Amino acid sequence: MASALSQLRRLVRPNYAPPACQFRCLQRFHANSAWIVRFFYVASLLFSYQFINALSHRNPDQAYFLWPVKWLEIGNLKQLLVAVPIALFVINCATVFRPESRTFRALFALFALFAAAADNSFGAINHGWHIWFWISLILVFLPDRFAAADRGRRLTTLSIMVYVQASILLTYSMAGSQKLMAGIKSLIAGEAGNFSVTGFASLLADRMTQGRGTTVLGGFLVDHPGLGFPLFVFVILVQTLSFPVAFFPRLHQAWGLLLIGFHLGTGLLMDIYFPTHVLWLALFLVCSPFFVSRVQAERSRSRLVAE
Amino acid sequence: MRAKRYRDRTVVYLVAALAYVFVANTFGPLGANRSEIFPFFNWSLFTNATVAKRYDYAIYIEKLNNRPLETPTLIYQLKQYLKGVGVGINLRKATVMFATSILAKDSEKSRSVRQMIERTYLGGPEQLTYSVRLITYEPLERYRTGKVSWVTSLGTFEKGH
Repeated sequence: MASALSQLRRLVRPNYAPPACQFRCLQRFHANSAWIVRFFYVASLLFSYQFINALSHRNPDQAYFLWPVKWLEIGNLKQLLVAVPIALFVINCATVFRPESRTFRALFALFALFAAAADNSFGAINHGWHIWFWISLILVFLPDRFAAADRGRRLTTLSIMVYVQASILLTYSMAGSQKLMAGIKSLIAGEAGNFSVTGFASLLADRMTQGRGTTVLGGFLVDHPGLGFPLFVFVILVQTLSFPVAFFPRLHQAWGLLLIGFHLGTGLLMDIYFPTHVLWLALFLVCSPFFVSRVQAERSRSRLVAE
Repeated sequence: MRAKRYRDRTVVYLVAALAYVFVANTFGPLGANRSEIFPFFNWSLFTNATVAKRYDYAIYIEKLNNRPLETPTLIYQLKQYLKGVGVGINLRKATVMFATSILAKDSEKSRSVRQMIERTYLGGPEQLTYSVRLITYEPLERYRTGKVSWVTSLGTFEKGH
């Protein structure tokens, strides 16, 4: 029992750099972060390219433009709808080439907002691009030439990375806490809800009648509500507890994988897919720049002793 | 000095995150009559797994090519006649947007959303009469039997008029 508790304590200790490898770890965190930022823009290139395809097939006359792209309604500018993703793509190429330029990163965030808003201007706001935009906005606050090796830039870069991770995890905490509150409210009111055995089955049934039809596993869990119930409670807990995980680097990988598993579940059960979220979870949490495995820490410790 | 700067920055971040939560929850789609302000979102997705009755908005087709249907029919049941009604969730979201703009008496928004719905989802028949209705159902019963009851009609429309 005591051993299990000490293991748990070690796991959740908010220790970014173990004392044995303080300096080396900071160096490594910074180098990892620089690569992750670069990869973020490389991966975004795929989305920017797909935006050109998606928006070039949209009829601008069918749009109800959201506020960031309301300016497209001036005169006949909406006929230039496809120019938005093309501009984004060009700017994205510039950020891949020079991610260290704050001007390029700021322009990228602005055009990411335009492109995402344009894509959501056709009667339904979907939520696949929201985190992408917010990450790009936070990355604007990275210093110019953030990959340079001076201490100030290094620490600023690391703190911005923590904010990106925290922002991603915040969205899950928001989703989870609302489910938790709704469940507690139903319990107090004595109604069937999130914490009743048929609650999750009812949720799946509702989703499947909203146009999609029966999903791969949804029908099975509607017929066997006892199997879905513990899964749903587990998901509510994992989601709700996500935000603080940003400050416990040893949990980054495990939580990233849990949340990716959650997205796999929503895909198979509800036909709700968030491919961009899976990518950002993999990049910023599973590949967390702050993760130091026990083996790495041991290696640094023994190297220090040897020196 | 430097440590203080990083601490201050973290405080600024936490305040910004709280502000985001506040804006997203204030303007987010909590309840059917609120529409969200992009790119703020409260991430309230399938929040309440209530087993009891749920409410939603839906389009019912009343006349197809000037011929009245026996009973007004839920749009999803006439996929074979309507080109744009696919398997996505977007039609439902657009219907909610249309219904909330009618209820808010926002004529400019309801006109453009209606135009978008007609052009995107109601392609096929030349003439079409449809209504937007508030519906109620029990999810498990609807899934098993398709039973949906409508509460009230928010308006009847003719495609293109």
